[in-house]
Amino acid sequence: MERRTFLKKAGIGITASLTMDPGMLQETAKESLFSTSGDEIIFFDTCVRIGNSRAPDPPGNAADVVSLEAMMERHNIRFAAVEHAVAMEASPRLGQKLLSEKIAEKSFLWQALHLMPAVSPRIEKAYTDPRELITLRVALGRVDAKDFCQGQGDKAMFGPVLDACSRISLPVFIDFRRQGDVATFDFGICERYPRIPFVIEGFGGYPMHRVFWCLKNYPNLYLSTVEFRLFNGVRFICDEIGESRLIYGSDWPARSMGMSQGMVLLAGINKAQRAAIAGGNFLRLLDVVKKEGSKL
Amino acid sequence: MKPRGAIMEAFLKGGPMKDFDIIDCHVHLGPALYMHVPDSGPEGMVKVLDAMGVSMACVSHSVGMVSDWKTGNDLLIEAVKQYPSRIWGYTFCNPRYPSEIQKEMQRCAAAGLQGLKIHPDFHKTPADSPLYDVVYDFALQENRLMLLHYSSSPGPYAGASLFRNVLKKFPTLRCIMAHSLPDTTAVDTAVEFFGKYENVYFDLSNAFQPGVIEYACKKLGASRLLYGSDGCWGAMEPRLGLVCCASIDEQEKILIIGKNIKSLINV
Repeated sequence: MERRTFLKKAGIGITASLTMDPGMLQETAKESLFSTSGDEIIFFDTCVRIGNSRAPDPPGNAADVVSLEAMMERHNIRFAAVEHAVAMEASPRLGQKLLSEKIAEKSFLWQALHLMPAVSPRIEKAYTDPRELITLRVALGRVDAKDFCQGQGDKAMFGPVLDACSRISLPVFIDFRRQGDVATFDFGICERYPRIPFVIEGFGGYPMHRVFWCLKNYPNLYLSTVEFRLFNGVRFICDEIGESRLIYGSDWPARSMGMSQGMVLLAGINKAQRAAIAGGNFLRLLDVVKKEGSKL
Repeated sequence: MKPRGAIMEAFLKGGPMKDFDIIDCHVHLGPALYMHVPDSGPEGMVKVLDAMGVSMACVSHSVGMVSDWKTGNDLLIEAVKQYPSRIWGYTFCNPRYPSEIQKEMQRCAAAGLQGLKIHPDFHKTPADSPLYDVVYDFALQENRLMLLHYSSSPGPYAGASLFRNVLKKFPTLRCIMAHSLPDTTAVDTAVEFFGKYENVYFDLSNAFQPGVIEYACKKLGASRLLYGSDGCWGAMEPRLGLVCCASIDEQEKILIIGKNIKSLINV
């Protein structure tokens, strides 16, 4: 499908700009997701990256907005929260600036903000102002599990950042892709910040006991499909916990979008459950952000 | 970028993918203590196959791999009897029981398990150890398909070079190198070590590096590649998604998702 047609079908004008009210974008997204016709499930990908990361695998596997758009179109991914390689690997602020320039005209792309602790502005100014998060069209914050001190991040200078996220109920993704161990991670952070939806990202699926207990006990804890490879895992979570706790993400371009899509599209669950996991659950979280942001 | 094609279109509509012949060449059944696998029995497996639209799974038993090989084989025999059109079985061969292995292979073959599986890492025996020769001999004599636990990196038990030694000694062995193509380097190794053996196949259960399936099609040819998930030691769905969404020809996908393995297991 040609890009312009695709966007039109999605109910998105391609002239949207940064000045657009983020709440309006979320409303548009929500309407588009649920007003889709036909058999296709529409996805919101919470984990994609652009920019030249330090060691792409295979060599040359870097993505820009053009290739991201092409891949989203190929996979029927309608919306995405994007992170810049520089934000993840060098400087969240610099990465965010680069990303803002790239996606300024792309209303179907949101920012995924790499969070860093509020140690000192002399190192880097942390994101501690919820108004700034709203202005930047931030869909989610992301922290490395290890940097988050195995769940003790609020006791290691992440407190002011989490307070800002809490004010607007911004989802915070805890990234286990590179380091960190879910079996020993202190998810008690969910109790200390009950207004923040925390999302486990990059959990392979084994062993399941710790994550399962935490999902049962912390209603504000969610699980991303990134790297989630438990056998029959999606149906298992749907049956035992509920589909509302699963969030779609692909980890593109490090992984094929088709991998995580397979977890959703080929799982033995009904269409409503697929739609919820593909995008509905995350859009509901964004809707809360919009409401809380409007109160600031 | 290639057009989506019928298989990817069907995939994006969601399972079950009933219009295609899909067979998974590498599956496990049963529990493995620390894995916490839900629904790992035959009923659970068939439910997953139904949801995906996979007609058949070629299976070995986890208990036979991580624990008592004979108990695992017994459980698999029962599963194959329960679902003969859905579950095709590999006998687990444990070389640490050298005086019993021939008898166990014959017993399981008579009971309906048509393939053979070895796991040199779990059984701590190098793939080219003489202890395995009885298995390779049996496979050749009986024309049995073997699924070989394989590591593309150097390893003391299942490294690629050890299997190169095996193929030098048993060049006509019909076998699948499990999870053998994680990246393009592994594809190059496979070409160098096994390219000339047309009886050697490769499953794509860990072909996670972007572009590796496309690269393997060019270097090895789609006729040597098989969809395998390594379920229930992992989810089966994302591996099928990888193949369905790869930028390769539709005919190549048809070979990989089922046609190749179908010709190997005679169903």
